[in-house]
Amino acid sequence: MVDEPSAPAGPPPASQPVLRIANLVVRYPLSERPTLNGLDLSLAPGDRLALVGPSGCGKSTVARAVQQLLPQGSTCSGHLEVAGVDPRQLKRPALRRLRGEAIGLVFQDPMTRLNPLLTIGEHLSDTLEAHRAHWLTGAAMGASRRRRAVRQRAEALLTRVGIGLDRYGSYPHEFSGGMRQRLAIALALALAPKLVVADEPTTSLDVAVASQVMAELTGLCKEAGSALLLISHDLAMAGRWCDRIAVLDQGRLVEEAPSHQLLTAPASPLARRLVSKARAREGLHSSGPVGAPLLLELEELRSWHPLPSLPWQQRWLKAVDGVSLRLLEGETIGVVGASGCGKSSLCRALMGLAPVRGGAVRLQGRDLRQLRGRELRRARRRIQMVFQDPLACLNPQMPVGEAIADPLLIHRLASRHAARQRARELMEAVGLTPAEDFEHRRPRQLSGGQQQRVAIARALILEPKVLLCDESVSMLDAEVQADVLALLRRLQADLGLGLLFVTHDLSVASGFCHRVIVLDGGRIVEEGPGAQLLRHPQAAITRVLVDACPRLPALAA
Amino acid sequence: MSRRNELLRYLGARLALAPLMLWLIASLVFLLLRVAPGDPIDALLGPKAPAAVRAALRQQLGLDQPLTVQYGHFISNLLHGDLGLSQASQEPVAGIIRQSLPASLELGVTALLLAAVVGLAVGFSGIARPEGKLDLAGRLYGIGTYALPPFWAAMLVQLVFAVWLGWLPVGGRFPPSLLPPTGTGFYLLDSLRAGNWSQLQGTVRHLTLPAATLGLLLSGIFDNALRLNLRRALASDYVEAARSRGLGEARVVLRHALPNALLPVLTITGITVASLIGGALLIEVTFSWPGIAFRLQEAISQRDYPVVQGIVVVVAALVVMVTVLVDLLVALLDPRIRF
Repeated sequence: MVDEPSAPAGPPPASQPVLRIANLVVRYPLSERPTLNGLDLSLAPGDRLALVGPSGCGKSTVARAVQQLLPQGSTCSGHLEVAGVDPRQLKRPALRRLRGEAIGLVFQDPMTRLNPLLTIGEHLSDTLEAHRAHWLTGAAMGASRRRRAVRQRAEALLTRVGIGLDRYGSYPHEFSGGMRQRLAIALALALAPKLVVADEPTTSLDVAVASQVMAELTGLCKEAGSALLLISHDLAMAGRWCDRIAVLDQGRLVEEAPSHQLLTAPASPLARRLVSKARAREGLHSSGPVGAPLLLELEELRSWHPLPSLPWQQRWLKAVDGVSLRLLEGETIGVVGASGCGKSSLCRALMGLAPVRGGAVRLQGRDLRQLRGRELRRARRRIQMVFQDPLACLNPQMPVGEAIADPLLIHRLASRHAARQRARELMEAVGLTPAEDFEHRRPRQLSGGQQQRVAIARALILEPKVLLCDESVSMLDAEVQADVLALLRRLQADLGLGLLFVTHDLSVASGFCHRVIVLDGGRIVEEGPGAQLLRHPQAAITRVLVDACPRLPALAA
Repeated sequence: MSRRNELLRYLGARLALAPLMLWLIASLVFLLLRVAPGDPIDALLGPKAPAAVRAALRQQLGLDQPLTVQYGHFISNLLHGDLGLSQASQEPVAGIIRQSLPASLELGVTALLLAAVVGLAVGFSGIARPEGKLDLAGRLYGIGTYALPPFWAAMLVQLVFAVWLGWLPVGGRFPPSLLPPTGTGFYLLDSLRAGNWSQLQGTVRHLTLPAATLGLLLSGIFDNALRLNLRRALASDYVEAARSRGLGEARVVLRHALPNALLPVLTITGITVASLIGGALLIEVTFSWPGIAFRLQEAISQRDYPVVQGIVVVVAALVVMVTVLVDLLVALLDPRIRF
């Protein structure tokens, strides 16, 4: 823990700070107002500071400014000092050394941050070669000895982040997201820089993997004595991994305090709002409806995919293998599990997108597997789905008003005019008000939260009874997540929807759902109210998920 | 399965489809030729020949038989590797192709190499300063050469370099005063192998103008393709990540951006080869280059069915081979490709 939190523009600590930013103003080309507007920030060696704030507050710009990776034409004024030097004053070779040797950067999306044509080993040796003057002593070294030294160091780094040496020659596309992020960490820390900046390093990973990656990152930073600047929108994660939290708003620091203090007693209005939203996301425990009519009943549902095999000994991928559950009207069931546990397959099977090999699906008492043709289509309209990535599931060319009305036209349930009218009503219902302002926009012209509202409105226009939400909020930032969840809850109360809420985040599931089921290997391994699962997990996989899941500290009553 | 076996299986699958494609193309050409207006007898004898002579020739060439029978003959001969005889000269079609194909390949390969070297160099040159003067000039060059009408460009080149300046010959493949080199039919190779200086000089002098013209017309494709893909690669996340690790700019461009930009260019090259045939037709006709496109144009105007069919089938086979080869090369170079 660091000593007393300094006031925003306090004096630097006794030891030489790794990063010192004072009154920093950054303006991107073609942008009217500065993205960073007088930011003050200071980091001592070995510090772990989290930078949080709402979308667009300038968090990520800090990472770019520190490395001078701002796009051409940006202006950057004020005081900026990394490891005692101002990166803006440096000539190219010196700046090149600063990047990598003094500052390591871990980016958000590990999928696009690696060169697809280079192997894992080549990524490491490439970086080590470029900085060999920094770590390789003995200047007059033969080329082959140098190569051996690089290889040795690269292998040591891989082992350190838990990647087997047999993967040295693998390509990035053969790696999972978590593995790629480990490589990114190895790359950022290859030269033991004094400062590591991690920009939302785990946002695209599932909770269990995310916690491993964060443990790896913080452990390595400690070993190398690097200070960590963690940029995140997730307060619970920030609190778990960092000593201090700094809250940013519109390019300014509004509050900086030790993590525990900030999460339990936030001082500024913005921090109070963020913390209360995060708490809302984690829990509004309420008991489920009692005595409500049964809506959806699964009995030993199996969804198996045929694997390539010999015809007489068919092998199956048992994605869902005997799941039974009962969903009441107005009830929310959380479906939780690690990647590959079959939670998405369950949704796909219910939507008729994946093969069902056995069991029964009864919707309002009728077995969907017995229905055919028009009857089946009519019944299917009662189950709708909201996907993870709203931008990917909306046609980029179609105005959102049309996208919402489209299902009515596809099923020939309304005239064009009536469909439009209905779409407008739904836009008002999901909070896109006034509808006239939004209906002609394209998906790209909306924020992530608004896009997901459009997707929800589109799912609701067919008046479903059951709504499947497959990771529907996991791509949104924490504050927006809380708003969308509140919207789902309100719609559920108004329309009596049954919700099947699929997520890898146990804390969200426990706060939002009446009951939670835990899947592993296509089967239900545990079931009960979320709070109970969090407190007394029984199954092994539940315990892993609970440990991985960062929680806000409890408020002293 | 190992990657090498996968590649072999992929190659096998692609080549297994080739005969089917060739059969479809051969059938299509057969049909189109007979549907198109014009009669080979008219072309051979002129419209004023007596009816009896016409009938006799028609019978001799087998053109009096029903289409199905003619088609059966054509396909079964094709399967035996027999392309038939030219109706106009009674020469074997295979011989005509053997004579003219090397000329076309020599011209095409030289032009393609020129286009690749010039186009890629121009495309790469603007990268240091995007939107700078060099970049703009390169972009203009790309659009300009791409938009040039081939025959007009060819005639202009002839006018300037052959007629006004008199530096190089107007057309043909070899000086008429010399004996052409013998061997493979590729004059550059043959004269080099024979060590005959005057033959080599004659070959190069005749090759320069048509190859340069065709190369110039094609270089715009390379220029634009590389420029666009390099820009995209340089704006990509992994390049920013590489910069953030403190790699030098040369390393970032040459090792991270360029290979990723060249992959799509390679695919485009494959497609260009197919379009080369169309461009080569106009160039060969304008420069009286005795290549396959030149002979094709001759045969079409004479309604010489067997020659047209033979040339089209051989050219189609070549294009199929080149595309398979390019696909294979891309698959070898890009580890992400699964078969």
